[in-house]
Amino acid sequence: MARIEALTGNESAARGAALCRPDIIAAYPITPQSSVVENLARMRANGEIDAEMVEVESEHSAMSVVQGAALAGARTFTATSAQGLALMYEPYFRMSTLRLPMVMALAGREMTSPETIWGGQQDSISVREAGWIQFYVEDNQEILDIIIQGYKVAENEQVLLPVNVCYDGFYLSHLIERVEIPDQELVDQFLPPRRAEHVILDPQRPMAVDPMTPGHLLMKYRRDHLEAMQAALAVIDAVDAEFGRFFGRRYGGTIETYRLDDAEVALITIGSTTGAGKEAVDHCRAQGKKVGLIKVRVLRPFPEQRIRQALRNVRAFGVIDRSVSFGWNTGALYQEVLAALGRSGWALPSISFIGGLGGADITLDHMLAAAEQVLALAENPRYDSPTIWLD
Amino acid sequence: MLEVRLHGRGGQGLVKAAHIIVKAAVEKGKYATFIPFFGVERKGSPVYGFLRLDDKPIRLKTQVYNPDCLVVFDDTLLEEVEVFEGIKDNAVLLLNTNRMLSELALPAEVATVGLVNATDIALQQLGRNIPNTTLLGAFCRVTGWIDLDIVQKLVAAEFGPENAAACAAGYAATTLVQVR
Amino acid sequence: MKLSDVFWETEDLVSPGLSACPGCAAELSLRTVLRILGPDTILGIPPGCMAGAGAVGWNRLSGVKVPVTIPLLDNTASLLSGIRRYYLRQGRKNVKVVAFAGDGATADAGFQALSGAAERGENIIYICYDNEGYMNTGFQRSSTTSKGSNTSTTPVGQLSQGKTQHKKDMPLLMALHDAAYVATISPAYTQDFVSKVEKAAVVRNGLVYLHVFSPCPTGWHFPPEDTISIARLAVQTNFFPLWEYENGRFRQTLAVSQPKPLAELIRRLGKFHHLTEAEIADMQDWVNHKTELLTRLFAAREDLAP
Repeated sequence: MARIEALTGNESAARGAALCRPDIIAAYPITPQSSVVENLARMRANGEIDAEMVEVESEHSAMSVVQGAALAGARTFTATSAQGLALMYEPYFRMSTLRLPMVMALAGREMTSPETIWGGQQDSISVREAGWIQFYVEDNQEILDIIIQGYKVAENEQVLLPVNVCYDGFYLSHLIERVEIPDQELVDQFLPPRRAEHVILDPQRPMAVDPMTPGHLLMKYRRDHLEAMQAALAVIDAVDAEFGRFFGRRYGGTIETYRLDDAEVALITIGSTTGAGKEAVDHCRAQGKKVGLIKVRVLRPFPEQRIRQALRNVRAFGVIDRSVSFGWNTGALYQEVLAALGRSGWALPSISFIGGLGGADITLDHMLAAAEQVLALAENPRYDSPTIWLD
Repeated sequence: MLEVRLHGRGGQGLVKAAHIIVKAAVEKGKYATFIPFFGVERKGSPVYGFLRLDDKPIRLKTQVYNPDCLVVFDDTLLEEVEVFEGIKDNAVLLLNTNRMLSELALPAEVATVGLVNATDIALQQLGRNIPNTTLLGAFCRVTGWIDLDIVQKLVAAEFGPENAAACAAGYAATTLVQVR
Repeated sequence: MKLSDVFWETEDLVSPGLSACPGCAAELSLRTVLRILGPDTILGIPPGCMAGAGAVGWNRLSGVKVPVTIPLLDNTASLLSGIRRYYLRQGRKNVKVVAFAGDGATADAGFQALSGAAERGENIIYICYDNEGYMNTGFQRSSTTSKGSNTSTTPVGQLSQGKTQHKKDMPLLMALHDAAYVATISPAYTQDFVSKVEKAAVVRNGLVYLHVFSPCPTGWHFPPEDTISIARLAVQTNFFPLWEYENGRFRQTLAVSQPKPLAELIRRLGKFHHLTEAEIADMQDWVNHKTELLTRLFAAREDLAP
């Protein structure tokens, strides 16, 4: 029987990871992620999990240890935030380009400078071209569930890529709420042990892993990687459906839509701010304003077709970003959505909203104001709306 | 949905108390969330956090700006922090103090006041000035939003029988005043 | 194993035609190491001369005949820790997990990872081939480059006489990490070399660190046929003394009763041609100091061991 407990986001991440029976865990503490490592260490100390814990001296080594273990065939887990992610960038990039599946929890934190320890998504947004699959989740249940789904996606033969489960620092990592913890036996059925086939360091099957590779061959590897990313779009949706059959919870795959069917305008959200977005939609609907919401659950690979499909009947949209695109004077997700539309020769009036940086809140009032601005835009369409800061 | 803001000082156990409230609500089959406002870990500096209680899932993962209830772990905070900012009309205040109601300057929005000398009770029961479990008992009494028996059981399991006794003493010792 | 048996009875697990420079001490050492460690070995060779020479190559055509990968320049010890932990978890304790890394990957960029692995007592065999610089990319200085060396980043010029700092003492640093076994190795003393690697192969209680002196004809500017005699001279001048550390004790493995003047070694290496008598005397002082320090460590009483 599944159990109901009150868990913080970080506890949810640790419990989710533990249910997946990782062989090797290596992590280094960093705010706001630290209690993920602490919880796993406590479970190990009490004999509740039997994973090997490697108490590394940095995030660079954390990713390197799990990379070595993955090369030997292990299922691995780690977690980090911001500066830790930046430090591990070198082996991080290599994890995906060696096509090694794993799951890493990322308690999102703003990148320094200015000096900060609080939430934001700039850390994960900055590595969206490092070849990892990136999930962004809305609540603690989703953290736990998507870690389990994440391994299933990562280890799928058509995919073979590492997965980031990104959740907002403090607003989820330190938020405590009701979480349903699935049965270990059921998780074992859903997620069988990892079988490493394509690269393995084993004297019984000697192979050279990653020799110097000429450009024409490297191009082939990159192309395969991109194709695996595209294949992951369908795999993510399928794994979500299968998860639903096992555990009774579904998330909609790469995107979730909320009251969108007859909506005239859409708010597009990513991460924990989605809850405030949904509340704002309900407020607007109560006043007869036809607002809907799209929650982007997977940023990499980008669900281009599903986003286009979701936007096909709206007259305007606004994207609420918790990160920036330095080159565009907009949020980062905003540019992704524009690209998805633009590639099909299509444009819609839209606004980029930026908020929630460095621990700042994106409030219900922000969401209501954003909805009003997008509704107004639908009435007076223009294509040069300036970026609006939610401050 | 009921929204609560908790004000305290580092080392008073504010986060742990809020976690007990959330766990008690969840155990009852209800929904609750709590987000601490997180600083660098230091004893004595002002801390606060945001609690929500509801019968259905709580989607808002934001700070609380218009609380139905304030829990103040230390009456010296009244002069130091904008404790009453944004409170709703008819708000509930739970205050750890040895002062009388007449000695307090409360805003007009406050309708119900619970006063308890949680510091004294904690010192008597635990020998330490950690008022969180005493205030948990007082919170049950003042709000009626969670059950004392569940809270006491959770406190006993997590902090031991002395704290459970402090919790009960907090419930009993709270002076409840309807000011409006 | 007797020296003759090592080469008679074991297989050369490095494929022929590795494209190292003529006279490369590192290639020779890699072949010897793998003969002793055997096929039940997983090898990590980070960027450096041996990776550049194709040791991480297509299996059995070039490269080596054991599983091999190229770690990053700065994560060799961590990557191998992960591999070893998984083998231990599976109960396959006899699979040796071995680094064969240059001095840059060891003493500079990879030092933090190595220090962490040693502190955690990871059961890996870490071998550093020290050719005193980034030799496969044009001889840039590293922290193990000898003082006075003319390198591409410490060039001799009107205002410069080469590198201004002495060599970082890696083996001593690793001994002070309380690694399970530490040894210095010279390709000129093969019996000593073989017995130290044999010892390393059976260590199960922590990290093994082997520091191999690797004269580099290309970067140090001497004839390729002189590699072994240069390596021997480095030992005989006490520039590279042979010793080992285990169970908290330092032990000299080759006594040099009549050390030769350091100038004999310096005069044979092109990278030192610009050095004056005074600069050579300064280096001799440094060698004398190091020799004295080691002598005291060798003499430390057993009851001082932890």
